[in-house]
Amino acid sequence: MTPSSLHSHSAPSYIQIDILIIGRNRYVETPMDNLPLDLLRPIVENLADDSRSLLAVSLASRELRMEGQRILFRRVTPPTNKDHHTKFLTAVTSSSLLASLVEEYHQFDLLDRRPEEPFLGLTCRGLQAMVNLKILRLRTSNHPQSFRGCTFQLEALEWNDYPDVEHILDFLRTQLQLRTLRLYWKRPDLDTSGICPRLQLLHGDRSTMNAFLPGRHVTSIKWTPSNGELLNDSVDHLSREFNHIRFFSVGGWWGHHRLDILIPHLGAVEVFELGGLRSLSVPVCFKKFPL
Amino acid sequence: MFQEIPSLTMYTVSLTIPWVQELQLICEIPRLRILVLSNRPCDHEGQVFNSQQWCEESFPTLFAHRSTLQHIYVGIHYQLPLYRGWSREPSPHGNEIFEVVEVKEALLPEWNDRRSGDL
Repeated sequence: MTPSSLHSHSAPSYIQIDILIIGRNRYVETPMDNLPLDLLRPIVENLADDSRSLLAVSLASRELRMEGQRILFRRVTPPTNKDHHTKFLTAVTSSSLLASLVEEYHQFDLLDRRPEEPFLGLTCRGLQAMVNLKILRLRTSNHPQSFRGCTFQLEALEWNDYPDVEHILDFLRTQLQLRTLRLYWKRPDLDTSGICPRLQLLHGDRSTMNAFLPGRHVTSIKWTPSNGELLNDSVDHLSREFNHIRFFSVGGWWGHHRLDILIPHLGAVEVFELGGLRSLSVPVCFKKFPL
Repeated sequence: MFQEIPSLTMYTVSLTIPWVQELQLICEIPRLRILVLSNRPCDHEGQVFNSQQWCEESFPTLFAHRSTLQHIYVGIHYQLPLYRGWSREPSPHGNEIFEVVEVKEALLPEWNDRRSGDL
């Protein structure tokens, strides 16, 4: 290729800038740095679903790094891989700025039952550092102490562990902003009145409904029965709370509550989901006649 | 010497469970606007209704029975959140297939609001 052909194929200048931004791992002055934040932020926001580009942007300049990281750390849902989570948790425990950017974090099935496990300590320190966390989905094995020292005010919590219910109850008492709760409640004897007063969305089994519906203004329910749950018990005691429900989902692995019991109480429901349905396949014998 | 013997072949035929009684009950909900029938997360057969013909014949009855009902979404995959949508006013493109990330996102606008940063 001759120099003249190179020249004729040269890209417009803004493309060259893009290449400069993506190609370097150290920060350089780029024309983007002169853009006011009001313009820069919506441009970077457009990459919110493109983490690869966000990573590239974050390596381009100091200004862009902040904007890129602001999005990259906002919602952290790594795959179930301890290495990924270790890197993330190490980053947020090392930088309070990065930790403060995190609004949503998911971690499933990575904590085992050994209290001395280093990853448990790292998770606890990471959760303590995420002071602005709003949505937490955590599936662990018997580690409610993960919440000790946490100051965040959650809006949504999914908690798939329940052996130490009293501890989780203490934590829920501190969560005055919680609007979405997914929990399988195993201690109907405990007093839950007044806890999570702003709850709007409740996901769980019958015990969860009994514990967290009364006295709240929940508008959405996802009722997934647990193993062994009685599916034909009366729900008359929840009738007043059911009057607020506009979105009702019922059913799961273990079937669903009898609809003739539920439906008379669902006068305000606009969206109804019947889940966990099974199609039926039956073997049928056909006589195959020779043509 | 050997007479051809008609072979007996076993076929597996998927039959629809119409849940007619339960659907009738659901249609008693006075303000029902959207009905979702989902096989997630349990069914490994694939679809809630294997017979699209059954849906085409039965759903108009549901729409007629419950005047507020606008849409019915039927799960079409046991793992993926895919639904086929049926509307009171039929789409010119036929029954559309929708992808919903999570059922809760289909059902619960609060979650969507949170995710889109409106709160």
